Amino acid sequence: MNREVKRYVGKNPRLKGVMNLYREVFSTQRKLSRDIPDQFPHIRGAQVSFRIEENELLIKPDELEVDLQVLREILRELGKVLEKKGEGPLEGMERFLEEELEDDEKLRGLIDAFLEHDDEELAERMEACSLGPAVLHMLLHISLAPFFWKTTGALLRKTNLGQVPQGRCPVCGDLPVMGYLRPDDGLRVLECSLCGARWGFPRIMCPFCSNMDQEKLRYIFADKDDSRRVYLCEACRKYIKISAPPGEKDEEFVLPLEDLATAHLDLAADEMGYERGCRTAFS
Amino acid sequence: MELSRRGFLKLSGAGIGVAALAQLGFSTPAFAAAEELRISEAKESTTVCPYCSVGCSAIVSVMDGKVVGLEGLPDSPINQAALCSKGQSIYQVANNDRRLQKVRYRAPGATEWEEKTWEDAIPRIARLIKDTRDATFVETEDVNGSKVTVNRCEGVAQLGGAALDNEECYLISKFARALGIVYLEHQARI
Repeated sequence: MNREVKRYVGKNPRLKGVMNLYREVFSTQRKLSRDIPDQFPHIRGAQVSFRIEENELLIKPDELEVDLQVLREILRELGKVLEKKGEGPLEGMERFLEEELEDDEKLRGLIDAFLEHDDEELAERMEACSLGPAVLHMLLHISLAPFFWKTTGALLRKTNLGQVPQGRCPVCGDLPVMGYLRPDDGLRVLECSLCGARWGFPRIMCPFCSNMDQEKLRYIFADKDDSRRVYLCEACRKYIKISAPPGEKDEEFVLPLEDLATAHLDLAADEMGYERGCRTAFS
Repeated sequence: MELSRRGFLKLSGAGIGVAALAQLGFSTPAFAAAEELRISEAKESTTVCPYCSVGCSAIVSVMDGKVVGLEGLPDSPINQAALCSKGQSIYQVANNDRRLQKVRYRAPGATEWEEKTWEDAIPRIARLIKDTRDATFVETEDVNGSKVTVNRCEGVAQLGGAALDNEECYLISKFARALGIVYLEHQARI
């Protein structure tokens, strides 16, 4: 991670602040994830393949075990990181961490709305919190991610997801952060913004509306660098960024960093009237 | 000034996925490259390699109407992104200054080629097919002492190739059989 941050900042020094924030968040997540007890996978072998074939999530919202005490600890630590590394004052963070976090029912409600991707319910509950919705969403996202990592790690230890033609994560149902072209064979691989699972996705298909009409799919790139592309879909007017890893080992390609480093492509696609279909911890 | 929703989203970073960063005090234009970008556009299409009967799939990238890239299709169950050395060269089918783009004709006994138009070539091809068919057409044949109608053209053969799709093959075989051609073969049978 440190090497990658250094590489990106070396190329574009303006990324220093956001890259350092992500590095700090990531190392805190890694450190705190050790407090989450190891789990046996709740499904195995044929059940995994069956759920993928049936378009069922491998981790349904009620199958994720979240210990509220451990989660509180993670939220507090990460909240402090955001306060420390942010470039402006964070209103409401202190009150949220000290008072609102203690209410079990309130916290459980927020987690359930987040896990069930119930945006309306989540927005309503967020309104009632002292933190701004975007920061609260980010805090929930980065605090719940280590629980998913643990469960996904146990689940996929012996299973390769292979190619799944769906734009939402087959493991947890969240949206991808972005994708990359695998150096070995050019397979388009998407990475989940929440649980970090990676899955193959057809090259000529929109991840958001499954459009396969080649006449309605195209890509743009900036400054003749076609290793970083934005795939645009005319059918749903959404886009996804796809990059080529800098080296031969795609396992070391940190997509959330690549996503920040390609924000100029987001601006270009936005200018052209396309909507971002992906999600990150920051959105 | 009234700010549109899109304008607001862009300023807040929500439209491009960094709304939380904006609230943490990071300005999007500050870390996104702010200079004017030169944006290029390309399109990807799938195609089938024309060289042999395996039927490997490939992705062709096209920019400004020109083929600029070619790679094996990773989603194909047949070749799973791999292309043989001939398959990799199909890029040259489109980009090749040695590719013939006009009809060329060498008269019987001549040593030089001359350029012709399709208007010259098509009637000439049709004439030769008709003459050969008329000269070699077999209407009947003796089978066990009795005359049997066969309507066979023995002087012309038809060979199909892997570059032809199903519909083209159907039309060509229909046409060939209408002429009475019996030497009808396809590369995929090799």
